[in-house]
Amino acid sequence: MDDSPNYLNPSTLARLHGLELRARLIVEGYVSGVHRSPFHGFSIEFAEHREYVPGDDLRYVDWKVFGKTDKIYLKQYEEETNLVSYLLLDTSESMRYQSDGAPLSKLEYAQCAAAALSYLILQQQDSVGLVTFDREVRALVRASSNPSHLKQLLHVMEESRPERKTSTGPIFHDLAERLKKRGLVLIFSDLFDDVAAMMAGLKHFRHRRHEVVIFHVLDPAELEFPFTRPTRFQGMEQMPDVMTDPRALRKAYLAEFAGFLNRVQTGCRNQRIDYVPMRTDQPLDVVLSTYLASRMTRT
Amino acid sequence: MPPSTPLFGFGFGAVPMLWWLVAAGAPLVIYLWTKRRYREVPWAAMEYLLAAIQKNARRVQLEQWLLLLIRTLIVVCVVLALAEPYWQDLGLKPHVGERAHKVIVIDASYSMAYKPTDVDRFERAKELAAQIVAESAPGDGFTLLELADPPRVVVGTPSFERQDLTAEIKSLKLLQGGGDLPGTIEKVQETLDRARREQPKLARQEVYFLTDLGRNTWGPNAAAARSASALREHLQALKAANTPLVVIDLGQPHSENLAITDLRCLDPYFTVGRDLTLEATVKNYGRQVRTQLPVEFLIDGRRQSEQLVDLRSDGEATASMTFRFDRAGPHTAEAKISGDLLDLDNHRWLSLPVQDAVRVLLVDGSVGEESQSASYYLRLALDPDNGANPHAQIQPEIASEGGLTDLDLKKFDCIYLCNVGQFTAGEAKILERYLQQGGGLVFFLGDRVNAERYNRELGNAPGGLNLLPGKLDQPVKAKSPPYAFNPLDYKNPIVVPFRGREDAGLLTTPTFRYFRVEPSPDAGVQVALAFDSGDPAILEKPAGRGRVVLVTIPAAATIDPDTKYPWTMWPRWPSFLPLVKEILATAVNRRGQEFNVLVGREIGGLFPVAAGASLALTTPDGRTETVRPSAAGDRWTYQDTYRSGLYQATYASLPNQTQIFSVNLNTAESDLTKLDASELPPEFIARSNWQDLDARPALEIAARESLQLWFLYPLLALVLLETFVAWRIGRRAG
Repeated sequence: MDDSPNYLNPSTLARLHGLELRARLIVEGYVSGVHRSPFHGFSIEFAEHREYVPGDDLRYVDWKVFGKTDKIYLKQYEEETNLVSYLLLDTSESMRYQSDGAPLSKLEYAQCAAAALSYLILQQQDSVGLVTFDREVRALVRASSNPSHLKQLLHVMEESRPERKTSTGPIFHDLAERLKKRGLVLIFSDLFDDVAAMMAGLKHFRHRRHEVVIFHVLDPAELEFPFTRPTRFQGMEQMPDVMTDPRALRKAYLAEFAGFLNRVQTGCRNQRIDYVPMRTDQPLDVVLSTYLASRMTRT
Repeated sequence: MPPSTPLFGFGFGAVPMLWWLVAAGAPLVIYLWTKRRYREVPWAAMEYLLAAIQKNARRVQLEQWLLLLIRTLIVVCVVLALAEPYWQDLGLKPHVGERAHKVIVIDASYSMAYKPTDVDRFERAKELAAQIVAESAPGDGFTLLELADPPRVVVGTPSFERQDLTAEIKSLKLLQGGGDLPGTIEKVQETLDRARREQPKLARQEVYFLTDLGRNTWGPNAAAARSASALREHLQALKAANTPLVVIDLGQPHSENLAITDLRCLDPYFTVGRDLTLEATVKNYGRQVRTQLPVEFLIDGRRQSEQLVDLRSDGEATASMTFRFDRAGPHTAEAKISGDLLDLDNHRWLSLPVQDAVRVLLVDGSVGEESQSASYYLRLALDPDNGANPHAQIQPEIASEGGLTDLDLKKFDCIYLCNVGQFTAGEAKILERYLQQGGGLVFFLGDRVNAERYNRELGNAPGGLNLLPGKLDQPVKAKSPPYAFNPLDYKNPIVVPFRGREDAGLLTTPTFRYFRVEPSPDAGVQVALAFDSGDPAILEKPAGRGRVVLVTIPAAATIDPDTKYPWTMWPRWPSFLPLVKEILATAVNRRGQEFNVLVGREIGGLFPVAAGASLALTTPDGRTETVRPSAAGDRWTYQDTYRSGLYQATYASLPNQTQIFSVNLNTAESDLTKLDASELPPEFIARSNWQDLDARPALEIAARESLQLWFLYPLLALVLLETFVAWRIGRRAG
């Protein structure tokens, strides 16, 4: 932890704690008690019913029994598996972008977020693995729940070099095949790729019954296009350079970009993928805690 | 700041301001400079930026160029508005859809030769005329006239061949005469009327006068009363026809000019071996005082003397020289000055047909002793040596009444008809012809004179030739005391020598009998000397090219049979000799005048019998033209004397018998006083003058139409448009 102050910003973690996240965590399998986890395990098998008492989670009400007997019983499960989370971190060249007003590049921001979530998950004693990718998988760290595993994750994140072009579609297909155990797939990317191909890859994850959360990391400049002077835009990921007057194009660009976001969000909604927008100028803890809070509300 | 020369009527009052038009390039320079000062940033979301560019590149480019254009035009409009643009209506406003007949009238009077710059007014007028032709709408027709005296129609029917017309304009030559405005306007109206008939498609008529507005041509008193009323009628007719008369003023106010207005010989006749006095009058038509102005005299082209004169403003002075010719024949004298901007009137010529002697024919109608003859005293008075001196200046020859028909009268300069009783119609014709050729005729009456026959053949009775200056009545006789002469204030040249010499005998000359003559009311008849009874004693009048003098008493000691007194004591009185010589001088004074004419007037003469069929006439510009005799065969004439100077006529078969004619300017045009445009009749539309085109007189600015608003309104519109376009682009930028 002390080795990676950039990624595990103490204030970020303190604010997560300050939301009593921990108190509401339910760590199935190993940690049971008053805390609920926003992430749930899979492969649950039914064991018995027990009578409902106020405060119980209504999700587990067996409505068929209620229909027959007018009594409220809860389903009790034999076993809940340990949660396996996979962090997919986009390390393509476009993630290197950092505008003048942003405190971090998109990659740095994504790394912070991924690290924070890794820490959180490991604190729940769940397993977390890491994949860095661009047009191919650059590193793959198997999931583990060992607290010392965090160090390795952070090390791999640190070593990632954003230099190449993205190709999310084939990568997601590949990973969907390789990540055998059902789990939670957390993707950190700007998603600057062919949306249709990317969605096909995500569909593959869903097909393998993974739960997918996309953390869409974007620079504020990409969202607002605040340039006023004539500018030469140097293309990344083998895109050409463009010399233009950005003021004249701002509206058109924003329209194009909104179209892109709309396609991504629609695709995510259709496949029941959680879509979490992230601006690199927003406090990371606020974004994470907001998302986690909303997720808990849903559960 | 000098104004520009208007092009197509447009000009600028403050031309140097136009240098600021360079600033119109500023928006482009700023645009290019800004493009060069771009920043570079890496960009990840390039796919979406490229898509935006692909869809909007053309629009963005168009907007940028539009904005650039608007900003450039804003600068241009500001600069043009500050440069004081104006529209100078040269009458060249296009009238869309109507073809026009444009009558161009160029003032060809010689004041147009005034040369204030390197181009004289006439050349400037030609340039403007060519400009009018060049800038008129296609389909317009043009006619071309010269405002001259007499006016000249150069192109009388509308011409559509602009190149030919421009060539015609370029070839126009100054006519060196004056300008006859009423006559020219009449020609203009004739030209317009003919064009209306022949070219009805030319729906509009416009007349352009390119003139210096000389007061002597355009002033209210320039035309005679009759011509002035005709002018008014023509102008009203043109106004009724809606024809604009545009006067383009090329004159300059306060133009200085000097001119030799006269060159004459003070002696009545020009004979060999006699001192002749030439006198030149120099006039200053300007305000500047001229001192020590040299006046040069040339005889037969050779410089003889120079005299310095002083001239007050608007004053005149004379210079003179004395010269003696040693050879008979045609001679010329020239006086010239220099030092002003109009050279034409700085020269004047005089033709002097110098003779060996003045030949006088005395036709004596009396009978009896020689000393009692009518011509006796006259011959003595004219040639005291009685033919003994071969170098005598006056050589009289006596003939009887029949001599008129027998002799060749052309060789005589003057014929004295002394107490001739009567003339036949044939003789009267001979006398008339003699006068027409420039001869002098002096009648001395007497007891043989038949007043009735005189009046019938020579008087102004029906059928008469009107040669006499008065109608003869019967003789009257004095009782006592005798009649005396009344010199009538010594006004007439014949009696001028007696002024101040009352003891010279003129006033005491006794006369007992004379013919009463009633002076003719004809113009030019003068009573030179009268009797104290009031009746004329000597009358004179011009006739033909010559002059007639009528003396109502005989020049002889004719005795009145009734009273036994002589008609008069005059032939023996001291006043006789000087009076006879002055009468001769008056009678022959017009001799040789046919050799001295004004520009535009006809010259000519009799063909000598042996001269052959033609003569060669050399003009002042060195051309030689062949002139043939008139239909009658005995005379030749030449009208094209539009250039001042010497014209030399040489007969083909008599190369030694040449005649030299001096053609001089009518110096009325030398007065360059200009009419103010406001004094023009209201039918004329005065336009810019010379200064309007080449300099900027402060007073003339108001006459121009300022075009500043033409640029300020678009400027306002452009500023609003720029704001709107910039706002639109800004809105796209979000």
